Amino acid sequence: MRRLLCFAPVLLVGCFVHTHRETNAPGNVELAKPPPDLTERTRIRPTDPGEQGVVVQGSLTLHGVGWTHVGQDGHEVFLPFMLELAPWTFTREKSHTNQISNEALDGAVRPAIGLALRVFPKSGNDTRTELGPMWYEVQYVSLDKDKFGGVMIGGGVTTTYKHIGPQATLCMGAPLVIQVCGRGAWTTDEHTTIQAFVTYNGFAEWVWSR
Amino acid sequence: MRKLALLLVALPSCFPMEGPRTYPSWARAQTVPTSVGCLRVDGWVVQSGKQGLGLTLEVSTPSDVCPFSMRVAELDVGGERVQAKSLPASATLHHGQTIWVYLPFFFDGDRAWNEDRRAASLRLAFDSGETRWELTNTMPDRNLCEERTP
Repeated sequence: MRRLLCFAPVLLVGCFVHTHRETNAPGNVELAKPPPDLTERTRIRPTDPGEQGVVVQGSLTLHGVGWTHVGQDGHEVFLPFMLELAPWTFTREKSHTNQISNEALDGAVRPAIGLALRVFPKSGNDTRTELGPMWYEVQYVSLDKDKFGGVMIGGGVTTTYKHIGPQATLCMGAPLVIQVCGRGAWTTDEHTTIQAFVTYNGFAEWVWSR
Repeated sequence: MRKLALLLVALPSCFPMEGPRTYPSWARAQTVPTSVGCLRVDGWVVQSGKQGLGLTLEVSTPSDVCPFSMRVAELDVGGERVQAKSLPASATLHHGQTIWVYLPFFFDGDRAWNEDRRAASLRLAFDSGETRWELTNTMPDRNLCEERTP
């Protein structure tokens, strides 16, 4: 069962919820310009007005480790669950004929909000589990030429609900699918925290005509 | 290994290809010529989109001589009345002669589409009489505008 749970997110990797909204469906026409041959009973095909949309990236972490001052034995912390949502909007001159997350993702500057579940090992087999911290980041994503591999850098704040501090994140890999990330944070109560984790990414896209 | 193979098979289904977009457009409900006095008037929508629609009229006469003088070209798009941007110059038609006229009607095609206004009525008035044509949007189902079969 545990192996299955570990493997399940991999099956979800890179999957998309892709929805077309129906608004603004007509194309562009140059009405002021009469057709070149008035005698022809043809219909002039409208030109592509382009499209706009919203993408929400969901990043799930099931395998992460960290080091923080609040641990009891050696300060290690395990991150069995982290969820981050990052929405952003995009506009394109031409309507897509392929999935668009990679095009929309390249160069995206977006907000992100996330929440972690942390497990602190204590002496013996005892553990302490807590929900937190939460973080808010502004992230920038850059993809390479083939629009698959790339990096994400983010900066923002992290909070343990009572305390707050700066946070920075760097992820590398395939932002559409899976990434390896490192994160550093500092809060007034926990001081320095360093984390390493793997994110499995999925996307929900809503697209409509401009 | 078997799981990896399964994953490789499953991944391409997450990247579907789509065909090019199709666009809703207006068309005459009836495509037969109309007699208005001594004029024989036919027409078709030549372009339609966000900016409105453009109509071509084909005008001829079965009579020896017939004056052509258009007084009104008005489109009613689900309650929104729009006049043609300009009316053609008057002319005298002779038997066997045909003239073609382009009439652009500017209106917010996006708004009409988004408000689900799918039927329009065109009123053409000449000195010799008038006629009314019904226009319909050729895309009966809104979802079809985004059906993109590769």
